[in-house]
Amino acid sequence: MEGRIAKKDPIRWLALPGIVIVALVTQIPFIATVVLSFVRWIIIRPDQGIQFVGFQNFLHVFQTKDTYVVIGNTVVIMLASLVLCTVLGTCLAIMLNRDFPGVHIVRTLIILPFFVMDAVAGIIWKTLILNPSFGFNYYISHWLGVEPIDFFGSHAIITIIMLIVWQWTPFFFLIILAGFQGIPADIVESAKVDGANAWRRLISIELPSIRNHIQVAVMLGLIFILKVFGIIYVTTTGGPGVLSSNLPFYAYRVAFNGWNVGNSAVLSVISVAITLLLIIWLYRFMNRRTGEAD
Amino acid sequence: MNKQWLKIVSIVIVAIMIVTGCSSGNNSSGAGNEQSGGGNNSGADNKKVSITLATVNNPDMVIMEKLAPKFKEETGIEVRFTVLPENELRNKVTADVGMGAGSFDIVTLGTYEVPFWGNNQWLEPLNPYFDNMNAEESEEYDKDDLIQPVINALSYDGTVYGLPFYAESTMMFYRKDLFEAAGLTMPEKPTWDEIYDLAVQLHNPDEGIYGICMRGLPGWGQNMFIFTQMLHTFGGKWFDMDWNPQFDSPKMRETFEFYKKLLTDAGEPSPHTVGYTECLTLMSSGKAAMWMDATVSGGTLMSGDSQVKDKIGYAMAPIVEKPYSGAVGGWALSIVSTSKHKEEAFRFLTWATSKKYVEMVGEEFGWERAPSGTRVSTYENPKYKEAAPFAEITLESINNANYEEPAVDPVPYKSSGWVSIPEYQEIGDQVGQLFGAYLAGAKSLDDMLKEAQDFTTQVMKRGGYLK
Amino acid sequence: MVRKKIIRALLVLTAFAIGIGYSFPLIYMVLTSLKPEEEVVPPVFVFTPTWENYRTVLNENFIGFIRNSVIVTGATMVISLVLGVLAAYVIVFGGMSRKKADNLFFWFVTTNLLPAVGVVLPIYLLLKNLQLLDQHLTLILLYCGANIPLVVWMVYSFMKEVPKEILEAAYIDGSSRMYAFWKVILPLIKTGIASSALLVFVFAWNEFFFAVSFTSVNAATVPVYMSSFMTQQGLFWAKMSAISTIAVLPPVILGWLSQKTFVRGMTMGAVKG
Repeated sequence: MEGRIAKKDPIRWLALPGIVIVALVTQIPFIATVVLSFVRWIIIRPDQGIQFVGFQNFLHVFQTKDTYVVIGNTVVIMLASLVLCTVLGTCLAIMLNRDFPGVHIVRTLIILPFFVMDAVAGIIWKTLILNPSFGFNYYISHWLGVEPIDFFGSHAIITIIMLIVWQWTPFFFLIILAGFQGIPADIVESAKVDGANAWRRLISIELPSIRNHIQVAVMLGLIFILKVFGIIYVTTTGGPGVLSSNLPFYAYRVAFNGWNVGNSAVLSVISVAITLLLIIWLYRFMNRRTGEAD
Repeated sequence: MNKQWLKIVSIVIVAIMIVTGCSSGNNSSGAGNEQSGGGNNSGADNKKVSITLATVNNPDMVIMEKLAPKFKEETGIEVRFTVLPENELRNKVTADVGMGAGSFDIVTLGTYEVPFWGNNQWLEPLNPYFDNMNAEESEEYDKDDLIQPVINALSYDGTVYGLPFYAESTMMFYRKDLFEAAGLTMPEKPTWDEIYDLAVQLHNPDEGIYGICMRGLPGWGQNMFIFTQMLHTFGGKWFDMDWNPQFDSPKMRETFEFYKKLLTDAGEPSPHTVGYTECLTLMSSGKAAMWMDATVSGGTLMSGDSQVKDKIGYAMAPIVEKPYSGAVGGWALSIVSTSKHKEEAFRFLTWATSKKYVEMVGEEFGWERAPSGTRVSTYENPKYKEAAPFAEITLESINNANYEEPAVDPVPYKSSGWVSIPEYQEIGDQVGQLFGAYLAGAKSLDDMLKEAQDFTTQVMKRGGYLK
Repeated sequence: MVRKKIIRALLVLTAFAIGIGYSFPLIYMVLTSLKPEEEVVPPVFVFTPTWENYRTVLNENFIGFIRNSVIVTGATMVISLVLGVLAAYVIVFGGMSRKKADNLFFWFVTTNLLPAVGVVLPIYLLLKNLQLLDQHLTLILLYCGANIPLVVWMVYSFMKEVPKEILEAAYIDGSSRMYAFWKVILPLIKTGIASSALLVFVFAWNEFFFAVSFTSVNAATVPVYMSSFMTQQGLFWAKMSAISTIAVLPPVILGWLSQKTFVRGMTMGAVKG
């Protein structure tokens, strides 16, 4: 142990700038949002002014049927995407965790979708690829002699999940690959010497070593995927109806079409609450499983 | 050792802050459109006046941005642009002006916003500035040359709040070649029933041709824009004189049903994902036989980007009960009431909407790119008429647009494809979403109408229109 | 022997196929950027390439946008990395009680749960009152607030893996904390720092919503410029592809370079378990 360090270590002050910036930039807006959720302020009606209305906004939001559909969508999208991304990302990382000519190129190709602005990626998918009138979808279906699939129709939410997984798997891939690459080579070597084959090594050594990294990827992925907005905005606009809307998109509609600052703030607060609950649960779940390892 | 380290780190951080703070404090060139060296300053002393303008990235605005240096040459006033897509622009400008942030001196707005923003006192009334013009300036500008219906659509209670940069209406575009091949003719003033018949006959999805393309993408400015025009000509209305929403009325039901039927029997697939841009792409790549939409699309359909350049015919927007059903829309320039450079802003407004400006665009960029729908003189110019074959129809449509009395019955609102109340953005957005769900087959007509009625009633109550 | 080589070759080919298939939409985007606008539909792979889209997109305004993006992203990266690594160091090696360290760690992640869209209007209000609209500093601060936690989380897991024995060995040798940090810990977590840097870069470079909402003429970044090519009027697919291709180059180059650090960390081998 580092016994030579005094009780109140001055080194702690080093964390302060980071803490201060993060606290200022993230907590103040959050407090403002919470305050605004108790206010009625319709921006395009300045004659109605800004009034304090207590819990009225909350009541109103919770009495709207759409709210529940949207919350459901948010959770479904998040869970499905998270599972798929983790599995896909890990598989890809395992596959590309070796050296072969051109491995760097393949890795870069895999990460590429993550580098493009999500709105642009959405437009490319919607227009050039999946469009049933002039995209690849149309021409391939024509060639196969079938009706082009309406990707953004009643099952729009599945398409959205597909696009989110496509864009976020590279994120998982990157973190998990970094984890694999961080495993000390001599540990792997000694396992080889002990006669363990590739599969055994994977199960007993490599996967356990990256537990931390998978945890990081999943936690961060959860937060980011819950906040996804750009893809939905440019492809389905949350439709049909609200079938493919998540909380951020719905909050956007309320804020910039309804100009209803109060209700939009309520939706943001709900979003934070749900995310927080899920994160806490996930954190405990993962720590319980890795309880001994640390 | 540790303390030294702390010092170094904090110094580095502070240094970075200073550097970035300086570079932003300077207000240096950034992303604005500026050219240095405006020699002839009209008495601007040592401080050059610079005004900020927010606009959409439409071809006409791109031209305006390109010509802005000429304005600076003439007047010494620099204009700095922020260019955004339509939705983002509206959001940003509304948030900015609505919260009094004052980022812009001039904003580009549509005929929807200008009247009630003016009434909110967010925009500067322009009448006093016109009154202050001397005789020479007045004559040169020739305010009466501006097309009256457009000016009306930019006024509230007689006060003008915006000057039209370009105006447009709606019309029917069709493929002359496909019509000829099928032995069909498009009437000059078609009815919706006639359009339905024509579309069904021309619909040939196996060959990749859709009879008609209509917007279905949810949005108050997307599917609702076309729908509202259809509703009014069908004899329906959004609200009665007491502001009761009319979703339970037979005409409303009839219009929705017809729209969907038209698309199902003769329209593009997945209509609820098809907005203006997708329709434009379909039409210009030759996949649609007809398209009812904004008149400015004519420019793109005629341009180098289009695959059907010389094959487009033009007809009036389809009607049922009223003799005309086109909109009077477009983009206008308005001065924000919190601006600190109103005089300069007004100079830009008059410069960009002047006869001279139209000439400049026509000569430098070609007459088909001259701003449409703003001045009578543009339409009397033979060069313009030659370059824009759809000009006549556009003018006729604008002049006869039913802005003040949009519906067959009397109604408490004005309309040009929307309803002239601030809450319409919210209502149109929600009804548009419901309509999209109906088009996609995810909601029944009855459900949709009921939900639309409930939602609209609630918003109207909150807005104080209903008790 | 030959069989092994064939299998290996097949595996390599499969890997390439997967790579190309996965990024196909983007490869197609680059292709589209070279097509004249009227040839975008129907999709073809054989066409006459043209640079006209790039010429349209790279006008004189573009420099300003790139400059702003570079300033904002660069500063964000530096500040986030430095402060994030420091904070992670304090959490892992700062001698705090296990509980306190865990709490601080967890706190970092709970700071960024608010979706950007929901918080724009409140932030707009605050910025307007602080006169901080349309400034580089504003964007930098906002981005750092979002990215410092990211760095902390990423680097934390790498720091935890540094074997205690190595640190012990260093201290026994008499080195100071600073030395231990620079010469021992940092090289071992190189991969973590590289991947954090890459992620922060991508997030800051591509960030759209705050950039559009809080800048106007002075501090607008490349994503704002790109959005003007997602216009509603006129056809723009090829032009949008062109500007996106340009915008995606810096992250790609950085991603490529950062792979150099993805080399398996070598422990000295001096310490055997």
